[in-house]
Amino acid sequence: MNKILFLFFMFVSSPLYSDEFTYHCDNEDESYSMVFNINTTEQTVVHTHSINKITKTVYDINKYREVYKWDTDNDSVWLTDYLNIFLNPPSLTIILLNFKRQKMFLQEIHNVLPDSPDFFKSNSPFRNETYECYIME
Amino acid sequence: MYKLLLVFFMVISSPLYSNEFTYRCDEGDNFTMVYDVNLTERSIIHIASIYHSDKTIKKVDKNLEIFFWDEKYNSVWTVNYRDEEFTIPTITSKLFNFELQTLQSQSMRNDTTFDGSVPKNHLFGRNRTFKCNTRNR
Repeated sequence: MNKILFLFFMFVSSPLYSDEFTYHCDNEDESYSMVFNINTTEQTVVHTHSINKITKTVYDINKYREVYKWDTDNDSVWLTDYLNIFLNPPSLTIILLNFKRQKMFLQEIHNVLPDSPDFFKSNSPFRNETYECYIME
Repeated sequence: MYKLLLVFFMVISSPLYSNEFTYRCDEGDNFTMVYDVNLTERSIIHIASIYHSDKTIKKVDKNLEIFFWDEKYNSVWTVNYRDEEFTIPTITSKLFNFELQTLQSQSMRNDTTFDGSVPKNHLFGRNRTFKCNTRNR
């Protein structure tokens, strides 16, 4: 009986995922997904690909994300990404992956400049997005 | 005449601010944040916050963590991570654009409560835009 109880407590206290897993996140209207490979031992996050479900396109990314803070206590990771690519205003994106709640939150500020394309000038420089995620071993 | 022209061109070609200046940013008529900026040392110190409705000044004196100093666009990105007792982990990102005389700020919280009880609309802070002015020190 004690052995069974021991096994039961081992099971309920173990995390729901192993040290390496795929983290698949869908935005609120499920039109867009981001997929990450997570390694909790090495504390790395690789953004493997993104999926646009409207155009049915898969974008191969394979990019190591810059880890700002690996919060082991709260099963979470904060990522930062500064981008300055042609025709887009410079931007800083902050992503929070919460493995316990199986969520992803994304925030972004664009530095909209006088010579930025009109699209950016007529829209908010801010972006806030929530994603529902699931873990694939 | 040439000397006058030379002085004129020197004045119009010099930046509107020196290497050390105070950057005062207003959010409407209610709230102001004051920063000391040092371009040589690449540092920004949040000196004080002013609450106009109850006429109080809160001294802050906090050195901001510089994420990226963008000389090309006269802009600075800062990131501030806080995880203090009795609060939930929060990250705040700010964009100072000295040329456009603006400050943009946004924040994101991680719901680390036992039961995930933080309302969804509280996880993202307000997207805030401040109009700023520069005073040489």
